[in-house]
Amino acid sequence: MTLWIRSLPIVFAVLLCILTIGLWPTGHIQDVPILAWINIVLLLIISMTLSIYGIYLLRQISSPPGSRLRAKLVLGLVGMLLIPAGTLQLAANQMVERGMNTWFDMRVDTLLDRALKLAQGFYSRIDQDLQRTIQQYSQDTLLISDLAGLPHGYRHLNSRLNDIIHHEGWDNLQIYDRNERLIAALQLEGLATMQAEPWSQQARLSFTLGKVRSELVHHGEEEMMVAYAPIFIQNHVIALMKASVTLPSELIQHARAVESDYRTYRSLERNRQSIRKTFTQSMLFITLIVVIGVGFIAIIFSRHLTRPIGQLACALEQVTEGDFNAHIPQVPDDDLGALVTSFNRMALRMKQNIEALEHVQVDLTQALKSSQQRQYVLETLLSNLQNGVILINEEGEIRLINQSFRQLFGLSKPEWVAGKALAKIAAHSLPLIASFYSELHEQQHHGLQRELEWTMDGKVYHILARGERLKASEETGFSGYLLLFDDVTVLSDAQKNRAWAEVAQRLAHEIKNPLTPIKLAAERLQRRFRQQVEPTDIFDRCTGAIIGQTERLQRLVSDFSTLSRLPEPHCKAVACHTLLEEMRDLYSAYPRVKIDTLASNIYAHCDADQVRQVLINLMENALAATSEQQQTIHLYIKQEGQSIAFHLDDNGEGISDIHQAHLFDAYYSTKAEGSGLGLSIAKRIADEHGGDLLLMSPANPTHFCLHLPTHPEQTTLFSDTENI
Amino acid sequence: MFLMNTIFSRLIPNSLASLVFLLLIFSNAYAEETSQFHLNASQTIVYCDITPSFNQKDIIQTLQEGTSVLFSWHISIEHIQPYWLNKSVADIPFNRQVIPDLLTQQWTLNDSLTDIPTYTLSISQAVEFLSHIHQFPIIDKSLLAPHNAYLITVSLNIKKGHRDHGWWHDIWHGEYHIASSILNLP
Repeated sequence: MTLWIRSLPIVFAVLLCILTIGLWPTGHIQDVPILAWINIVLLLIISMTLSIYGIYLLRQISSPPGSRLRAKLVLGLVGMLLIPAGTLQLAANQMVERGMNTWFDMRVDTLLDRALKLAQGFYSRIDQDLQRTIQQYSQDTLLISDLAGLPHGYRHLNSRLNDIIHHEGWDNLQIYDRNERLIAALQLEGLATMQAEPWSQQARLSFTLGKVRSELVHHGEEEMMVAYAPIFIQNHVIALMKASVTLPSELIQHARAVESDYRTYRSLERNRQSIRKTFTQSMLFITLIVVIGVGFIAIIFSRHLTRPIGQLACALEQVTEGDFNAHIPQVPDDDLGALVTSFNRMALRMKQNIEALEHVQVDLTQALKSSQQRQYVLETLLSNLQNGVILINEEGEIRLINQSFRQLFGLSKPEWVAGKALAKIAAHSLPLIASFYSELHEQQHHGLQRELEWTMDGKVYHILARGERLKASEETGFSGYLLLFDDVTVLSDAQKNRAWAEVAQRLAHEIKNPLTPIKLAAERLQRRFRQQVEPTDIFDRCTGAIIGQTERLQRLVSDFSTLSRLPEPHCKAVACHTLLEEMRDLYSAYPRVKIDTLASNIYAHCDADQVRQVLINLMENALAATSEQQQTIHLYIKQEGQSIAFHLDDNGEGISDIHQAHLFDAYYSTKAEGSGLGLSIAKRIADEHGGDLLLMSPANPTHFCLHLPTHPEQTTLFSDTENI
Repeated sequence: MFLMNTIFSRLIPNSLASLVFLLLIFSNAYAEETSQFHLNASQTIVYCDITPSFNQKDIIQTLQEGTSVLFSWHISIEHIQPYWLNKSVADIPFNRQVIPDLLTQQWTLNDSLTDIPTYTLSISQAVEFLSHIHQFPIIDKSLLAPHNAYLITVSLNIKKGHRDHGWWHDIWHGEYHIASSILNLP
């Protein structure tokens, strides 16, 4: 819940306190209506409630779910009530103010004053007339003489009174003596209903003061104006005359109505402010009661409304945190109830789905593990495979390439990685691979097999390339090409050697047999017929040629035989300097041969006879390629890691590029009388020792290097690798 | 639940405390009214003279506008007991009312003690009739114990007109104390 919503009750409480101060009653406590104090108390209660609720909200660290909606609902409902209630109160106050201004208009005031004065004038006129007339009659000499002649003059007195009462229109006329005894009386209604009444305060006052007095006497709904006048004889009051006249009832009613209205009007006018205040306070009281009531109803309603929402929010939070056991038990029968029911159903379904997903996850994890294991096995297999492997997808991009392929073709560039187009990168670096792939791609058959010849570092490799078209299936869903490359150079050489050996053996067998009789026959001819044939020199030259060529053929056959039946090397630790010393003794006749025999503690694991033959072959070639004129041949050894290297170089004419490719091929020779088997035999001996014979430099100097192992296990390991 | 607990535990006591505090303030302010109250005693009777302080102009205007005015007096005599509540000895309530007649401009004076209406044409006499209590006998000395102190309190309630107020009106606009004096008998 945001801070402004939390602080809203405090703000309302402050506003209510300000309103309370503004409405605080002023003046005397007795003049303040109790409603004003009740309103003040209600305002204080509301402001205290709001303050406590505001403090409670502010002290809350985290609002529970639904409290924000509840607070908004309560504030909204109370606000919706306050706005029309306040507007209504303002309008009502204005109406009352205007109504009062209309009611207490100056013209009404003046009219009532004049009406009252008119009524007062009516009473005053009757009173004055009655007083003046009774005073005149109280001074009437005839009447006084009649009173003085009593008790003998009653007739004259009554006659006189009768004249007066009929002349003036009075209702009653009485004369009392000083002892308050009625001595004469006359009334219009007759004497039967006349009663002697005790003197009133005004009557006594008139008698005492000797002045005319009057008073208004009420008889039921009637009003009578009564006047008292003292009767003097020789400045002594001897009697009191009392005359009464009944006021017209209709006029009295009007006059009293005017008086009543005037009194009511003045009372209302006097209480004008209090009426307005009372009205305002009443409206405020009703508003406050309604606000309190609506507030409580709003709280109850909002609690009832937001309880499911709060439960729903709690349940959602549980679901968010991964607890799918959330369930809302109480379901009201309304839209929220439908929502809660949907949520319960959704939570149950999510729980079931999650459980199913967990099962699937377990299965997938196991499958992934087995897949990773398979991938690991495959990758290990591919990396350890001596064959070069490339897997290409349908778009011609490399999906997989193993290290053996890179080693096979001596690829060190980073472009030979997965994701690259094979045709593009092979076009300029491995055109034979590109052409092979193109042929495989364009042909209709599923597979293709070709033997490729690949030259790297001056050495020719024979590569057996096999391609297979992969079609997509339901299990794999992969289509593309699988290319396999095998280095069959050794196998090819072996096959070639075996073929040549077979040929050599057959040729040696077929040629060797007649050569000896031919040679023996030629020598016999020479011995027996030399003396008989003329010229002798021609005969000698011819027979010598036959014998010489026969011997050459025998050597050739011997070489063929050696190549085909080269014995297994009998390796042992051989001191290299011994071999070098033998070579020095053997070629000591050649001044251009220089042999270093300094290394005395270097041993090689080899067959000394075969290695010596290799060195002799290399030395013979070097001697053939050099002459005595400032040309040298240098033989020396070096220990390079776990192998011994015999280096032989010369500064002869060198080896051309054309001959380099076939340097170690059998029967390939650049010399007219050479058999072409020297280097081939040397290469074969080196290979069978687990070493190698390499052409390090074709010219300037022409440099050969013979590598031999120093320990027997290296020979075995190399032999096993070749056997594989 | 919190709201109900708050209302019953804090709000209502706080509100009542505030209300009592306010009433105390106003009751103290109201006690500042000044009136004249004198006691004098003869051999047998205790008399008093009372001249209350009130808005005379307002009363005169009320009468001139035809509204009757009633002065309801209440004199109480209590025996002062230092260690207990004072003991009531006598209560003397009486009323004096002036009823105006705007048509004849005479004022009817009613005294509840005599119950005999009198009339006057002077409004000042009517106001004096209402407000001046002169040599008013309040108690016979024989009812009082000698060597004791008595608290004599005079309260007055002024009512205007015959408006029909609710039952709470007498509670709220009840009589108010205007003067008091202590009578020490020898």
